[in-house]
Amino acid sequence: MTTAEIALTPGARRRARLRRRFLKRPPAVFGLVFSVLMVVVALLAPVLAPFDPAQQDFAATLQQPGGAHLLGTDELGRDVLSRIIFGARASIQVGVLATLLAIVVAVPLGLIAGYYRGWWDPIIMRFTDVLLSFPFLILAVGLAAILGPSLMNATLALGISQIPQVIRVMRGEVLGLREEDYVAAAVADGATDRVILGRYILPNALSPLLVQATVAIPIAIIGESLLSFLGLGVQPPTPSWGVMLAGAQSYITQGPWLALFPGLAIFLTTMSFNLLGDGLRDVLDPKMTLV
Amino acid sequence: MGKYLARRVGASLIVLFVATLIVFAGIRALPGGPELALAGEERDPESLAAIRERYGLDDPVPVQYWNWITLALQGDLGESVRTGLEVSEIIVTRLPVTLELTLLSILVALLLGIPTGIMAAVKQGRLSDYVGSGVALFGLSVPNFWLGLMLILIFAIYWPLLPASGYEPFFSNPVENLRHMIMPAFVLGSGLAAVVMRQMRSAMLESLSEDYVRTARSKGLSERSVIGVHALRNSLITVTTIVGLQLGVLISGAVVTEQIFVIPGFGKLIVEAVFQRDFPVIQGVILVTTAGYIIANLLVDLLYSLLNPRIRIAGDQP
Repeated sequence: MTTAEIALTPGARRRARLRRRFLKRPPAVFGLVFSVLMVVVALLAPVLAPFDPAQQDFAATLQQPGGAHLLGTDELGRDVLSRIIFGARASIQVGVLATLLAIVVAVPLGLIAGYYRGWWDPIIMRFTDVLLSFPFLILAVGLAAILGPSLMNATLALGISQIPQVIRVMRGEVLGLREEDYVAAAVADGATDRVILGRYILPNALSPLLVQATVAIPIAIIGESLLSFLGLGVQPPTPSWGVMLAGAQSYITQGPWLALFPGLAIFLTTMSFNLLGDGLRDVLDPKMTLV
Repeated sequence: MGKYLARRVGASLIVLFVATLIVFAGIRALPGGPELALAGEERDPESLAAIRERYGLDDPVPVQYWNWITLALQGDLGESVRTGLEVSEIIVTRLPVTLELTLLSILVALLLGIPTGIMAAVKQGRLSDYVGSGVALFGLSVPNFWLGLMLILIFAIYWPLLPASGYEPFFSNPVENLRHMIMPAFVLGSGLAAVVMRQMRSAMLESLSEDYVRTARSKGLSERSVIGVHALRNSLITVTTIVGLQLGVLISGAVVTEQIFVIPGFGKLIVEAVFQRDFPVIQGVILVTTAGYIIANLLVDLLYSLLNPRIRIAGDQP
């Protein structure tokens, strides 16, 4: 240990140790880099895209990859690369917003169920059972039928379908934490529930929550492309990877690249979030096994 | 065991009841009220009045629910507003198709997942472990509808071995039926295969470090019987539950798979119904799927507790 490190606070030392452990895992680092890259692509889409994603060019329909259009053009002559770059917006937006929605709803419920137990616990757990009793796509299809298909409603459906998992993770974590000595000490010290939950329990439950978020984001990204593929999410002509794949189905013989590239984008993005999640889990919580 | 059984069945019944309330509320939450949704194209006052009459929409809501659920339990789920066919009849013709697809995909998942999982555990840290785990990660990350499109591209267009779409009933032509089902079953089963493989790998690793495995080895049993009999048996318990937990994913996956391969099952039915705003069909399919899913989960749970005595005993304690 160098002298510079000794001077660090315990928190900073722990962060440095975690960072070193994380950096030793090439797949996790790849996952982090690629995930961040996709977020940047989504944010800077108008700057990065070589063409306007909606611009049709009937002189250049179904052009093979290469040349001016790096990934080719679709049946309306639109640039596939630009549409993939803009499609990242829908995917990242749904991935992040659906996960945030699930966290905002589920974390308080998980805290209450795990900390207060009593009659709250069975009620909240039955509520998660009810949510889990709808296969997620069936729930999403039902919501789309009632509310109408749109990106917003797809986000809502995907967020709701993640709520039970987050509640379970949170509750399980809180059940363990409330038995810790420092919680007992805080109780003896006369701390209010708000202080105990906010200062002692919630911060210690953040690691599993973070891991759960990296699991939820790729599920929501695949969910968005799936709903858009079925016509229940993003509505054409707005570019989305699922919408592009749905369109590609009719041109699979003339333009196989139309099916190849958007799928690769979904695949690489979800895989990088999965690798990031696996890496975070290994680093933050060595007890959890890989399942 | 009796107490555990009663508690588990009781909890499932509560969940089932609340789920039916949600499905019931779904149509009532529609703008314009349920009669517009149930009327379909015929929106003249007489047919709306007839629908209010038939579904008792002027009754108090709890009475409406009671009437709806008793009719549903007798198999009366209403009529399609597009075709006029009984919803229950449509469901009965579509259900076997989806069941076949789901069962075949579970079979694919087990055939792929169990051997590769065992291999990865036995050769832990060696090349075949890395290859197996890598393929599993691929299976988990690849969206199955894209995999379907790619398989169609390879095996139906570039190399025309299998039909790209369509369905042939098993009993009229088993060979053609299977030829049509190979790709869809693989597409639907691939994600589950990856989950089974990872689960099998970690369960085997755990079993292999247990005392009874060491005992079996020290008795001089061959490695084959140590792995194949002693370690495998316990790992299979875990796999049973995983397949159960993944049923919801399979049902969701079936919706998309049927859409890609144009298979006339449950999933295609509900997507068509959403686009046609055929609410009795949507409601019927959601009700049947959810009820089936809850019951299947209950059965898996009970099977699990039969296989694993520890759960049974822990479950009996208050």
